[in-house]
Amino acid sequence: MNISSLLQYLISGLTTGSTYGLAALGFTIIFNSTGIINFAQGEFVMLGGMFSVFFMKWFGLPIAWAVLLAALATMIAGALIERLAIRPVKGASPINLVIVTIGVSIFIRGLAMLVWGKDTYALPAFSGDKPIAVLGAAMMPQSLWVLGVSLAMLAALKAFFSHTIQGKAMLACSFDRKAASLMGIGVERMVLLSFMISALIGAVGGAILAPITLTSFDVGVLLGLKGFAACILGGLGNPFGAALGGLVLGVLESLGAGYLSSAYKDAFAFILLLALLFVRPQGLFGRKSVKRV
Amino acid sequence: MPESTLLRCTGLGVRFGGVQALSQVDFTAEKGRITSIIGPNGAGKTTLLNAISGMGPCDTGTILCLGQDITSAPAHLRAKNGMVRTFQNLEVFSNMSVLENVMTGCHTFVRYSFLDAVFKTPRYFSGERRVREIAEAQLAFVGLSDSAAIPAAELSFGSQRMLELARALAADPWLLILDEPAAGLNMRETKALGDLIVRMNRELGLTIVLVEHDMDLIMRISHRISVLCFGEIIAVGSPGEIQKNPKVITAYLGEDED
Amino acid sequence: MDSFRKNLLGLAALMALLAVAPLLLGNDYYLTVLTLSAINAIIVVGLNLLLGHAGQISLGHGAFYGLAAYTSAILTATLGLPVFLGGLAGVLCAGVVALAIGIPTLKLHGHYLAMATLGFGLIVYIVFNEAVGLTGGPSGFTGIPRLSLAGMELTSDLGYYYLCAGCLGLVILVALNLIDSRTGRALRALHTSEKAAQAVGVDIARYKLAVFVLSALYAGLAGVLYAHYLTFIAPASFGFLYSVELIVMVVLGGMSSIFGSVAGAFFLTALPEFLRAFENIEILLFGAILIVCMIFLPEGLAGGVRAVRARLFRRAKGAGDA
Repeated sequence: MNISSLLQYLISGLTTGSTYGLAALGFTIIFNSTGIINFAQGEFVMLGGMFSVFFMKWFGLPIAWAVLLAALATMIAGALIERLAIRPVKGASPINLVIVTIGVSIFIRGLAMLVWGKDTYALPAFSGDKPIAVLGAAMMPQSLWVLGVSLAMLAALKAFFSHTIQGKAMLACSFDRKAASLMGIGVERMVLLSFMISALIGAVGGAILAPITLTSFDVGVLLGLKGFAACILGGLGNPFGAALGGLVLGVLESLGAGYLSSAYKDAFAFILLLALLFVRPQGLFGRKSVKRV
Repeated sequence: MPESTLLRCTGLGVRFGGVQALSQVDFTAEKGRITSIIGPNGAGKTTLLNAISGMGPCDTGTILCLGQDITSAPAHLRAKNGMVRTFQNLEVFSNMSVLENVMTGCHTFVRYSFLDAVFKTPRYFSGERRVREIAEAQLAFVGLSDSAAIPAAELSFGSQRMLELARALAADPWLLILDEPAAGLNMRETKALGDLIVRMNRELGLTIVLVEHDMDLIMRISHRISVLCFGEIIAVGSPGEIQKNPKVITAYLGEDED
Repeated sequence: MDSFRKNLLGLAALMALLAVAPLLLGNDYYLTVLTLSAINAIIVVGLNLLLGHAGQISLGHGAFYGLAAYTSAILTATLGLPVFLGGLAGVLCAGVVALAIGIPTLKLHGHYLAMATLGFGLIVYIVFNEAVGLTGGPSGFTGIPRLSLAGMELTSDLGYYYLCAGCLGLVILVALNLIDSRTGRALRALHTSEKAAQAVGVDIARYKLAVFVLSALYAGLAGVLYAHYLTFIAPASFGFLYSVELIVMVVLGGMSSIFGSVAGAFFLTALPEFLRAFENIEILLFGAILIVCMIFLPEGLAGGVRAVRARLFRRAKGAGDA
């Protein structure tokens, strides 16, 4: 095993892992405010990448503006989903809500295919694609962007939860929805907000990853699954555990692909995930819930 | 261990993280008696019941039932061997009718195989008939015969408590563990519940372990009382002895003015 | 015993409907759709027991379906075993794998159980894709023999449809009989309260495992029927999306009703075929119909039928009173 190839795998693992982490963060935010596992989370990631590509193409925007606009557009999509699909089934059982989100994800995917076709698109890298050499490993500048933007998002989110009224209100909802509503917090608005924030986070993740992995109408399915896996790995409900879970998953996958077999890299990650669940049913960073009986 | 002791717990200890919920608890229930456990909120009463019934952790100590060590037996086996409990927060099967709830209680002792059910053999039909008879009899015992066919979730709170009792009785217990059966009941219902518990004890010969906050009820029907405070047993005795015990009085007055 | 008679009546009506359906839809294409619907319905009946009655979710049932299909395909086409034996081995394989995976998995709850079964399904799916020597990889496995009974190959599509419908009928009968017994009560009990189920002596781990294995056996039966019907299988038919679709069939049909789930299976299998007329927007419509169904039929098709019946009954009664 030599250091430079290990480093290479680590870099690529952390890069994809960041996107998983951002998807997982989105899952967690919606889960905390509603108790729903949003199966359309992967579609937010897809929308982020695809919108960026097409805003550049249609309006000839510079990439930074295209990405920004894509994030905003996805946020609006998130709000629309909450208003049109989630709110009408308020109070339904969790499994029904999950099916609604599955319906939403199929709908969005169908729409994306209709508008953009089945082709694969590439977004140009944000600052060229001349690799940087790090201890014998080659690092694409885009990887730095991915890591940097992900960290920035995480920091912004942390600040949002601990320093703004809205953020604190959302946190309160996640602890106890009923108590929060008694304290005068508009729970409905918090749910709307959580969908918007999740969409935003997912979209940014999709946009920064698109130059590396390419994008098409159906990338959301697998990214969504990985995001969910990262969430569970980190311990459902813990946003920062989820982000960390994403990184762990990305690195595991990349090491598995590098040292074992690239064909089985996804299987490798999921086998480890299963093994972990069997030993620690509450995830890596989740606390064991002590239920009162 | 004397013949008359049905349940004997020695040195039970349970820890939740940094909290010692139970320490060195000794507890016995004599055959054919009503033994109550009282104590202020958070004293560890439910933790003790969970340890006894196998539904919660038990870190140290032993539990003997009819002389057999059941400390590490899974909950369903304890139930099968005659130790049946009810719950403080109602645990009625809301996806079944009232009658089916009680029929579920017969799970362990009216048996026929999976294949009997699939092929609807005579054994299935005779088994089902017996289950139905037992369930109807238990519903009659608690006074819910008229509600047999309605969904269990539609019963009033008080009736759901009675339903839980009927279901527990249908399991043909030796030892019935009741976790705050009077919680949420009004005075009339509590009175009826007390009478019912006494009947279960006298007519059916059941040994009963009772956790309850309603002191009138406890003092009226218990033969013996154990007092639990901060995870330790501070007194054991007859209702009369317990009422006069200075340690018990401080424990309660220290907490609230009841 | 009353519910027994009602079940038999319902089953007889369903079988009669399935028997005349191909005569009414006299088109080979519709016959294929009907056959595939019946095959899906077999899995969905098992999932209804697992999810609707015992309350345990599985997002990996496509894997059991695929395992049985591939096992039978490999044994018959590659190794030349008789189809009957290959099929039996396929069903058993699904059951044995369910037993092995179920023991650790069913200790998990809620979303964690969903994740574990999903992960299992993905792993199996990846193996189907990558073990090219065995499975033919992503491009699929061809040349699977048609089912033969006592040396006679079942060549007629109509005959095969009736075979599938017959299997569906049997599978439904077993499920209904099981629900209406101490086993069924134990399953429904652990669905609402694991604690209370244990308190009356139900060995919840054993019952969860038993219903999981049974539902995998159902999926296995469906997989074998599928492989020897199409004579060609590819991993894409057994992936995550298929597993999700199965769950949707159960919920859309009505979780607490076997017949509802069967209706859900036929509806969702046939729907894309009808939407095909809309070419480009078929996926879009499929998604939209799912959402709308959940908004207006939270209890599924079975719940909708119940509500309509209750309303008609009330109206009839009101008219009688007036």
